[in-house]
Amino acid sequence: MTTILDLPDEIHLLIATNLHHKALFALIRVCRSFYSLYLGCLWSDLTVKQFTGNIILEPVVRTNAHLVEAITFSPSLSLDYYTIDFPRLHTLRLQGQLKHYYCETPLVQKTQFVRRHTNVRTLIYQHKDVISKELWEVVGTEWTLLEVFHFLGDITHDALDAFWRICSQVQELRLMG
Amino acid sequence: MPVILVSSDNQDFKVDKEVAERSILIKNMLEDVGESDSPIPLPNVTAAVLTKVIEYCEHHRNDPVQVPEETDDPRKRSNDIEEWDMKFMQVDQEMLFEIILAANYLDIKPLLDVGCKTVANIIKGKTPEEIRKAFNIVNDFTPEEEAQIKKENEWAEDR
Repeated sequence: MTTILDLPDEIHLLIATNLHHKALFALIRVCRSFYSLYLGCLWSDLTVKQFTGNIILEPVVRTNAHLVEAITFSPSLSLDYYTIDFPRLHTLRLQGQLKHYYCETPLVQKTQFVRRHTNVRTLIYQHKDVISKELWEVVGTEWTLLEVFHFLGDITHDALDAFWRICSQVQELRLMG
Repeated sequence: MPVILVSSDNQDFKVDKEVAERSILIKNMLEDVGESDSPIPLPNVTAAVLTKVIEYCEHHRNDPVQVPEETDDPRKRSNDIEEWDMKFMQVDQEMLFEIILAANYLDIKPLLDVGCKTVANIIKGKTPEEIRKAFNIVNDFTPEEEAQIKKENEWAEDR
C-alpha cells in the first residue's frame, strides 16, 4: 500500500510550500524521516528576534545555520548573532520596528557580517542606525550577486558614492522614506 | 484525434488528444513521435489511478496553460482548492498518494499542486500525534530526542 512515506523528497518539499512554521514544527516531531525531510523547510526562512515574541537563542541559530537561506534580523539583536556564518544565505533582511534600543550591534560587526556573506542576492535594509561608508563599499564591491535592494533609512554624505553605485548595479531597487 | 493510453495493468484508455496533452510527458512524447496512432504505454500508472487522472484532465481540458508562479515566498501562496477539485480529491489516502505520484510522473503540474495542497490541509492544525494517526506513522523517536527537537524548534510554535 502506498503511504505518505513513499512519496519522493521533492513532493514533500512541494507539500511544505503550503505549510507555515507551526505545521512544520509539528511535522518534524512526527518521526525521523519527517524530521530530516522538513527540518530544512522550517529553517530555510528565519526571523530572528531576541527580546520580543518567540525568541530563538543564539546557540540554536548557530546549530542550524547551515539550513538558513533567508533571514530577518530584528534591530535589537545582540552582537553574537552577527558572528554566525550562514553558508547558504541568499536573502538578508535587516528590518523590524523597535521603539527602544536595548543594545545596538556595532556597525563594525555588521560590516564583518556583510563581508562574510557575499552570496546574498536580496538585501532589505530598514534598520534605523546610519550605515558606515565601509559597509556600503563592501556591499558594492564584494556582493557581486546582489540583484534586489530595498532601503529605508539615512546615508551619511561620505557613503553616497558607494550607495549610488549599489543602486545602479541591482536589477530591482526600492528606496523608501 | 484520440490517443490510446495503456495502463500498467494493460487496460486501454481512449482519450482526446487535448485531454491527454494536459500531461506534459505525453505531450512531449506525442511531439517526438509525430503523427502516429500507436498506443502510449504508461508503466507507472494503474488503470484505477489512470481513470481518476483522465477524469481530472477531462474536467480541466480547457484550462489555460499554467504559467509558473514567481512569488518571493511560496508559503504565501493561496491554499484554496476549487470546489470541483476538492470533491475530486475526496478519495482514500492510498489513492491520494497514487494520484500525486502519477501527476508527478505524467507531469501534470496543476494536479500535483492540488494533491500536495490536499495533503497539506490534512496536516494543518494537527499535533504530531494526530499527524501520526492520520497517516499511520510510528513514532521512532526516543523521548529524549523528542524533547530535544521540541526545545530547539520551539520558536516556531506560534508563527
